[in-house]
Amino acid sequence: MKRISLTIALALSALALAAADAKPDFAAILRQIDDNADFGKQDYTAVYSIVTEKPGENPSAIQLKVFRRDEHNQFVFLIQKPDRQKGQGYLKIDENVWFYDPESGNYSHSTIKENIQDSEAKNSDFKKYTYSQDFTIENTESGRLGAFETWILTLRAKTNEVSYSKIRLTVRQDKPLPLKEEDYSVSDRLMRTTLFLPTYINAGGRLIPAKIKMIDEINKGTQSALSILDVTVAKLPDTVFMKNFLERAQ
Amino acid sequence: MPFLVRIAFRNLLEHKAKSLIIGILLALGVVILVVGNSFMDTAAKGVKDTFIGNYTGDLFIAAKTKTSVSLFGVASPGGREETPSLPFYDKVVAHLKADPAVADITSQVTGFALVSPKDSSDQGFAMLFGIDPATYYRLFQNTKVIEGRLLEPGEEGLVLSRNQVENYAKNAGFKPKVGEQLILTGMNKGGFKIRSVPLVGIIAFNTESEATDFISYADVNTVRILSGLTLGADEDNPVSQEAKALLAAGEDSLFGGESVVAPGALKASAPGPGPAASLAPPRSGPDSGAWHFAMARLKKPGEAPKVAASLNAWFAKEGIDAQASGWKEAAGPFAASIDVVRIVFDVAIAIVAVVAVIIMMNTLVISVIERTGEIGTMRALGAQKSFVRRMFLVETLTIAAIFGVVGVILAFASIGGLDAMHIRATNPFLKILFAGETLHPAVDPASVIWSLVLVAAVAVAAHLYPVAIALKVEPIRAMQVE
Repeated sequence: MKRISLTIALALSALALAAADAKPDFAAILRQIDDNADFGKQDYTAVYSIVTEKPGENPSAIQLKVFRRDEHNQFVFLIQKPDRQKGQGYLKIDENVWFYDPESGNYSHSTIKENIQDSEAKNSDFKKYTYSQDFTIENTESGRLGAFETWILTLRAKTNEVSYSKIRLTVRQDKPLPLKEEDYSVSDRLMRTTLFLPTYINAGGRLIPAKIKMIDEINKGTQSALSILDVTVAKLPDTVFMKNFLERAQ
Repeated sequence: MPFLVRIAFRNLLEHKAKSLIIGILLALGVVILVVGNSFMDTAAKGVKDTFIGNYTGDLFIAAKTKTSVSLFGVASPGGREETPSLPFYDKVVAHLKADPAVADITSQVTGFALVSPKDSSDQGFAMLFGIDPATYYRLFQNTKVIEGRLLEPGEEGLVLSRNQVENYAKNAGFKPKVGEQLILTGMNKGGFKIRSVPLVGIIAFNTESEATDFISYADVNTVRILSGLTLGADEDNPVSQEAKALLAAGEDSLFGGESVVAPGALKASAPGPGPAASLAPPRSGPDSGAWHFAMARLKKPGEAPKVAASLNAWFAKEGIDAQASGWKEAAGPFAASIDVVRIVFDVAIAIVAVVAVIIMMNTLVISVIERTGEIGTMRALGAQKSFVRRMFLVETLTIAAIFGVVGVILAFASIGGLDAMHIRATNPFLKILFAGETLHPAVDPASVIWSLVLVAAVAVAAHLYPVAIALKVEPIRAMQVE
C-alpha cells in the first residue's frame, strides 16, 4: 500500500513539475502582440481623444485623427481639438517625425520618443507595436491583474531608438493582449505606467483597446486618459501620408 | 601697557619655536581669508555688475508666483510651471515712469525654443529674451555686433550670441548664418508653436559669462507666440465624464472583465473631418500687451531696496499681484550659486578656525606649563591674576598683529600673482567664480580688516584656556617647579 502511495505521489510530483515547465513560447507571444496591432495591408484610421490631468490644473483635452499605414510604417496625426491647435499635425516619413504648425506653415523635426503635445502619450505609442523587434525578453513570471491571469515579461531594449530601455509588460494568459506596460529609464527608475483596459474594438479582426490610461510616475498626479473612437480599416489615398496632406488640411 | 608689550616681545623671542608655530598658523589663516574673500567678492561683484548692467537693471518687476521668479522664468519642480505675464502692465509702467527715482525702463518676455534650419532635423536649444529694441538697447548696451546687426524696433527676427552659434556648430550639427530663415519651435500649455524668423545678427556679450552663453534675442511677438501669450487662445474644451472617471479609477477596478465593442459603437463627440476636409484654424495673434517682466534703471542704484519696498506697498494698495525686487532675485540661479559658494567657503573657514584654535591652544598650553614657575614667581611678588591675564592677552595680540600683517602681505602677493597669471575659466563653475573668462581677483579693504579681526579673535579664544590653567596653580607650587 505504502509503495502504491509513494508511486502515485512521485507520479503527481512529476506531472506538477512537467506542468510548471510547460511555459509558453514568450517570444511567440510577443510576436503575436505585435501582429495583433499590425494592420499590414489595411490602413487604420481612428480618432484619439486624450485628456490630461496635472496637479493644480484643470484637465486639458486634445483630439487627434490618426492615420496609419503599417505596411510602410507610416503615420499621420491631425489635431482636431482644441481650436487653437486645430490643423497641427505629425507626419512620419521614413525614420523622421515632422510636426506641422499651420499658423506659420512650417515643419519642425520631432522624434518618435517625444510626447504628443502636453500629454503623457508619445508618438511611439500610436505607431504599430514592435516589441519583438526592439526588445529581448530578460525575464518572465506569472501574475494576476484584476480578473486576469497574466504573464509579466521583462523586456530589455536592443536599440536606443525606443522610448524606454526597459519595459515590464503584463500580458493576458488567455490571449496575447497587453494589459499593463511599465516603462523604466536606463537607471531602472519607473517612468510611466500604461494600463490597456480590457474593452476592445474589433477592427478588421484585431482587438484594439478602446481605453488606455497613462500615469506619469515621475510627476505624481500627472496622467492621461486615451479613448480610441471611430475606428476604420478602409484603404486611404496615398496622399494622406505626404507633407502636403497636412498643408491641404487648412 | 608699553611695559606689557615689552614683556610680550621678550617672551615671544624667548619662545621662538612656539611663537613661530602660532604665528605661521595665524598668517596662514589671514592668507586663506583674504584670498578666499577676494575670490568671493570678485565673483559676487562680477555677477552683480554683469546682471545690473546687462540684463536686470536695478529693479526687477514680475507677477507674484508661488515659487521664485527670475529673468529666466519661474523656478518650479521639473520646470513645468509657466511664467505668468505681469498684471496691469500699462498701469505699472505708467507708475514707474512717474517715479522720480526711476531713470529708464524696459520690458521683456522670456521663452524657450528649439532652433533649427528649415527642413532640417538638426536642433539646438535657445533661451529667448523677447524685447522691444527701442527701449531695451537704451537700458542695456551689453553687446557688440559680430555679424549682421541688432534688431530694429518692430522687426521680426532673431539675434544669436557668438557662443550659441559655436555651440550649435559643435553640438547640434548646424551653423546658422546671418540672413538665414530659422525655425523656432516653442512648447507651452497651449501646445507646440512654430515660427520661422530670419537670423538678423550674431553678437558677443561685453561681459561673457555662463549666464550669457545661451541667451538669444528675438522680437517680442515671436517670443509671445512661442510662450503661449496669445489672444483668443482659451476656448472651452470640455472633458467628458467618462475620461474623468477613467482618470479617477484605481488600477484593480479597471480589470474586472473583458468586453468587445463594435468598431462603430464608439464615436467621437464631434466627428472630425475626413482626410480631405478643411480644418481652418483660428489665427491666434500675440497678446501685444503681455510682458513677463519690467526692468528699471534707477538714478541712484543704491536706492533700489527703498524703491522696491515703496513699489511693493503700491502694488498691495492697488491690489496688483506683482512684486518688485532687486538684481539678485532677477539673476535667480546665478546669484544663488554665488551665495552657495560663499556659504561653503564660510563653513570651510569655520572648520579651519576650530582646528586652528585647537592647535594654538595646545601649543599655548605647553608654553604656559613651561612658564608655570615664572608665573608663580610673578604671583608671589604680588602680581594680580588680572595682570597675568593681560600679559598673555598682549602677547597673543602682539603675535596676531605681527603675523597678521605678514599674512596680509603674503595674501596681496598671492592675489597679485594670480591676477598676473590670467588664469582662464575652463568650466561653467569657474566662469561663475571668476565672473568672466579670466580671473582678476580684487581685494576689498573691509575684508582685510575683517580677516585680521577674525584671526585676532581666534588667537584670543585660543589663549583663554591655557591662561586659566596657569592661574589655577598656587604661586608656592609654581615656584617649586622653577
